[in-house]
Amino acid sequence: MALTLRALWLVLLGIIPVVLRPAASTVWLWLLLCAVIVGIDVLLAPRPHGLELARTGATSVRLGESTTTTLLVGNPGPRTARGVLRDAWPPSTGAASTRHTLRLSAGERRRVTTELTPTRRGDRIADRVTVRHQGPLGVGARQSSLEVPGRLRVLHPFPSRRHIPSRLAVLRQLDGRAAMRVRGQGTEFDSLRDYVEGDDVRSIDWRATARRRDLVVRTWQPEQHRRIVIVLDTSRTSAGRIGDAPRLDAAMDAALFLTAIAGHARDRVHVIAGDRRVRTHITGHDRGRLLHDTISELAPIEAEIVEADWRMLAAEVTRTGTQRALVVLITPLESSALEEGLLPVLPALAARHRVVVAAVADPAVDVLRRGRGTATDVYAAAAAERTVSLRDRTAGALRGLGVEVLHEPPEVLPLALVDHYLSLKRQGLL
Amino acid sequence: MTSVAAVAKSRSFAAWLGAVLLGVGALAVIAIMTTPSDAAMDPDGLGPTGGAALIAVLDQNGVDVVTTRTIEDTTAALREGGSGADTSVVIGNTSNLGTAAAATLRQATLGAHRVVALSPSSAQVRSLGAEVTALRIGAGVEIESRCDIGPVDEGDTLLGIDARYELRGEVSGARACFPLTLTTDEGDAGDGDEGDGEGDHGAVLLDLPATSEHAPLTIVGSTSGFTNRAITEADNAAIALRLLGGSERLVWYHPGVTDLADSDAGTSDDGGLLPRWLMPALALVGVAIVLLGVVRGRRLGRLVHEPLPVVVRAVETTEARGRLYRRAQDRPRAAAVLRLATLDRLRSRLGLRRGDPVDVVARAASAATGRPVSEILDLVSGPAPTDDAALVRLAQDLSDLEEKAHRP
Repeated sequence: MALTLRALWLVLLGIIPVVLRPAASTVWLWLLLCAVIVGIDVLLAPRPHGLELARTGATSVRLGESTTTTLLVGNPGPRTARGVLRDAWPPSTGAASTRHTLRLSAGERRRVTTELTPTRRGDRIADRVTVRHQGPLGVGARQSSLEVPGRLRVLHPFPSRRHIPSRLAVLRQLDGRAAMRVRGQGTEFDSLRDYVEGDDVRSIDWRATARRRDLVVRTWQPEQHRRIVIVLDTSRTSAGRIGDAPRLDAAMDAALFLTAIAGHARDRVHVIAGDRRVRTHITGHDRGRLLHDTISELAPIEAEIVEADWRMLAAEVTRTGTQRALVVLITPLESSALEEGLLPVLPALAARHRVVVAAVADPAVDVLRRGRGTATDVYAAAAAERTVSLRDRTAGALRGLGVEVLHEPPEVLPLALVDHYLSLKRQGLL
Repeated sequence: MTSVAAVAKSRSFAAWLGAVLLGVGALAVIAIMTTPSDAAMDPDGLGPTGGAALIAVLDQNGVDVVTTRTIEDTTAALREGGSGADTSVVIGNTSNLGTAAAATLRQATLGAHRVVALSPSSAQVRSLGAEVTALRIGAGVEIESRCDIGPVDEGDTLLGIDARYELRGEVSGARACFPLTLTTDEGDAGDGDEGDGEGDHGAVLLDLPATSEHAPLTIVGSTSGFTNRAITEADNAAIALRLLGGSERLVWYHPGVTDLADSDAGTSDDGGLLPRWLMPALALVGVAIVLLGVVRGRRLGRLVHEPLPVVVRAVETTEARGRLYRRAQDRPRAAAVLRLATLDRLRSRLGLRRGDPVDVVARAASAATGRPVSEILDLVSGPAPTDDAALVRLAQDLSDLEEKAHRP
């Protein structure tokens, strides 16, 4: 139950009888009368539980974009329902206005639409829908909160997707759909066709030429169906923020970009995210579906304040198959965490697979390094140099194991990773 | 953010306001507590309007003076004295004497030696048991007694008059002194008759004998005449001493504010200036205010909580290490780290191998920059700086060297 401002005015109206009959009993009697009126009004108000509520609308939205969620409200009762409805969402869902006035005559159905502009990645669960129905006099109201399940998945903005066309063009060049049709390491037999001038004479297939009595050449295409395993470290070191976003978001951007390009190259992609446990493991043959799944599955994952268990993550990589694969470990280059966790398991992994460690660099460290103004700046610069030298030592140790290390700021890392992948593909090193 | 700041601001403002109000209130209370009462004829009043001088003199002359400030104390003091005929009562200041208190006093003093009231009003006198019309006047003239009763002799003069009294009706044995007459009626109003002289304007002192209603009652229309300032004027002191010193014990009743309030409650309160409906209406408004809180305070559904992520900057550890260096004043370490970093960069910039010793790097850098080898050696492997200024200088020199050194 709830009261309205009208109830307040009703009580204040009691000043008239009080002036006419100035006594304390008048006040009591008037308050009693008000209580009776409000009680009757509340009793006459329709029950909020009687409403029929159903939710429709988008279930996912890319971060930075707006969407709407719609409640279909039906009034099956015999009386007109007047009042207020609140469709409650967590603050970071960015609901424009959660309160809606309600006026439903008997049997009427109506849509109540709330605009949502989320401000953070992840799943947002709708809270209860609260309905406050006024009585016929509008002095009292009945209020109830009803569960109307709703979930909005806020997806990673995937800012590097704008680079997809340019990298696909590079891929097509490799792919043989453009000029490159030479035999070499990392290519496999594609088809036979007639010789045209300018073709490499080494690619003439003499056996076929003998059969056809015309010169026939073999064409080659880059290797397909290589395995790419992307491992996202979601442990404590990924929680650190660079600018406004955690490192994990930049790491996801890189993982998504590589998934998109490798999917187009018809490679088989596994995306594993984990820290002490495997948070998600996404794979699939259909490249469009794979990217969609990856974006959707990664959306609710946040960095946890735990240490990564690299032994377990390496085991998960091994479980994907014994065939040689490109294993991309996206993890911050934090020397202490990596030297104790990753380095011991890396030799076994590097012996079987081609391993790339991609790390999100923090431009703020470089800014600190150049500080020369005051003593405080210089101490901070010394600390930054120390961080850099420790990092270089770790990177050196990783390179010593035959692992490629990419260390780039958030905007550059996805491009660097994909370019590295394409260069490996070009050289047939997958 | 802004709303939080605004709330904090308004809170601090409220705190200041509260502190100021508290301070002002405390000052007011202290001022009230420490200010001596300057009510007329206050028994403890040492100021010009007080009555302590008279009490002190009475005390010296062997009169046992008991001062009381409430009617309860007064009746208690009278009971203590056995309500005997050796006790006199004086109402030193009648401005706070309520009619109820006066009636109580009349009852309590039935057996007393004498009751003296200084400048009472008609209503107060009526409550004391006599029918007298009181008229306020203010006269700074000395007037003669023109009577000879016990406490007042023929020829006594009194200075400082606040009221005059006219007796209503006949009262046997009543005597009037210090009659007020018009200047043209000089020589009239002889001594000691009914008090109503020719062209009479009443008298300043009325002496009424005891009746079944009251003890012997003396009404004196002068309060200011017996204050510390005026007691020595004319024959005021003699009159006062004779009037009040006639018994062994004197109860000096100085009515307090409570005595006034008691009397008013029964007679004139509910017919006051405020409309009768005001209090009920205010109660209604109070209920409405509480209701407003209830109306506005009812939430439309519960609060929705937000699972917040950890917010920690990635560069935090590096900054913390920098603060650690600074706190420890670890200049040697900071300098060593900076020098190592510079050497590493010089090696890569000058095309040297990673493991090349310092002097090789210094020679190469000297060749690239044209600066002497010893200077560069001093810079990259000299003694550690001894103060912060030297450290800053070293850091600047190192970055300067790096900028100048290019591959030869």
